[in-house]
Amino acid sequence: MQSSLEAHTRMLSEQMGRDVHPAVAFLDLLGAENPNDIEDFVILKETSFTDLLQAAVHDQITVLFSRNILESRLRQEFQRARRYKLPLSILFIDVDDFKSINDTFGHSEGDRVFSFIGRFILDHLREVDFPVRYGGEEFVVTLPHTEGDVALALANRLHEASRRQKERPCCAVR
Amino acid sequence: MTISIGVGTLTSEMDSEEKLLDAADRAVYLAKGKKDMVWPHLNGLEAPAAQLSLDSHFELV
Repeated sequence: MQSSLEAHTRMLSEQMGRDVHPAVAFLDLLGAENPNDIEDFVILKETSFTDLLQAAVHDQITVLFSRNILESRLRQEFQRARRYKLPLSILFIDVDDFKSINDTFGHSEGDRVFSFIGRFILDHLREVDFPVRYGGEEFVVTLPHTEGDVALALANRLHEASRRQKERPCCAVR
Repeated sequence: MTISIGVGTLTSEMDSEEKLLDAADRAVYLAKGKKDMVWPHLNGLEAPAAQLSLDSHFELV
């Protein structure tokens, strides 16, 4: 029952040394091999669970996934890559000098820029890729089944696209 | 506004997903030092992995 979720949340919190959101624990269980664990959670009300999941899984500004979910998803991809000898790569993206945008134009303008960056990243990834807003101006993209040289090529394409975007007056940051 | 990107890829030496994340973090740290670039080598290495091993070999010979 719901206590199973609470127990798993506590266990994960102890493992990670910090508070873990219940929805994160639920997602972690989705990757568990025992499906009986998942059945315990059907008693959760659908609406409250959906809200819980949305808040835990998605960054509200960029619509990318939130950092909460990265740990469990990356762990699953890592284990899968190890088990089946598959390649796995990661992009770590950082917006240069973002603090100056917030300082100069304010946080609401900063959020608008983040929202744009989120859409931009999504537009340039493959469906299987898993983009996360990792921190303030940091983004991490997990690339399953992807060799390093392919990941580097993807990073270069994304970077080139960001340069072209910067040159478009309609989209440039003031 | 510009972006810097680092790339990490799984190697046989990595025993956890954190190691992979750390490798990508090292790469983006180096990229941010110069700004507006993709760090050209995987896992935050200063040179391509093959080049490093080749150099090491020649030093030993």
